[in-house]
Amino acid sequence: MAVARAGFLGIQWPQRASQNVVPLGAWTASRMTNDMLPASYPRTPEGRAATPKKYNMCVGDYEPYPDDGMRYGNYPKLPDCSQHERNPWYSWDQPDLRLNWGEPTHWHLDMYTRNRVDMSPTPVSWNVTCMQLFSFMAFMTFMFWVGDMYPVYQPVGPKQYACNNLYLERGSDPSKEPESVVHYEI
Amino acid sequence: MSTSKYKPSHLATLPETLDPAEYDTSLETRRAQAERLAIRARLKREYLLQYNDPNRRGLIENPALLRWTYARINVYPNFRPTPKNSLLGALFGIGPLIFLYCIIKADRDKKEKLIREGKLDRTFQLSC
Repeated sequence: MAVARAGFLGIQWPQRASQNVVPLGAWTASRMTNDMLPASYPRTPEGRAATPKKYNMCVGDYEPYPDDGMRYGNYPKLPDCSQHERNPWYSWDQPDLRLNWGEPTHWHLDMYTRNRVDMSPTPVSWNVTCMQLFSFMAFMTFMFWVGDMYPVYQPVGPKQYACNNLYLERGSDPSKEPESVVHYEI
Repeated sequence: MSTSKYKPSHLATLPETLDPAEYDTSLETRRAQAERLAIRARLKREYLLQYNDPNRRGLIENPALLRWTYARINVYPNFRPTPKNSLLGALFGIGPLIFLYCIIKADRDKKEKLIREGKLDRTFQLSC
């Protein structure tokens, strides 16, 4: 009995040692369990206290999206900052995404990557930027419109062609005598 | 400078140096920072253990990313039809279709009217 049990344990030991060489079905594909996945909006205070631990957050930082049926569930509402603003010199686990392993990811992370939307602070505030741009565009549009209404240019007269106003070149009859056109006054 | 003329907006966030919370050195903030650092250190340790494990063969799965993917895909259980939802759905889902239909119909009716009156120039028209 003891020998059989030792033999059984002896068989188990090489299985535990080589954790990467397992037959199919003996190990799950992912180490996530169902309680680690997101769920519906937390309605109880216990749920509100337990959810941030699931998401690797502080309890003080956790703020779920408001529960108005807009599909967020209990996913945390992180501040809307793009990945451009994160410190480029810190040694991130994933430097291209500027993201750490296990860090709660923003719902709109795919929008805030460094290829896409950039919400870095502007040198002047957004209102001032927009006001400057639109006032310049409006002013230039107005001036061009006024210039179109009241054109100003050097005085011009009709063009004076040679050879009796190009009589032959304009396809008139060569046998007839053209009327002489005089472009000057004395 | 206690007040700054810089106003953050939805499209450009406040710089860190102008944020008064950055200069808050009270005990609660320090405690919160320490807690965050502890979580960060624990996660970094777990990641590095898996990263430097000589027996590891494959990728290290990121549970945060898996949760994010799961949340983004399984939105229907958390969906509930509300007036705002329904209005937005109608506006963005059905609105453009009706709008395009009206424009194209009006344009084609105008063209058809011109063709029937014989006013449209159809010298190089290949189709009938």
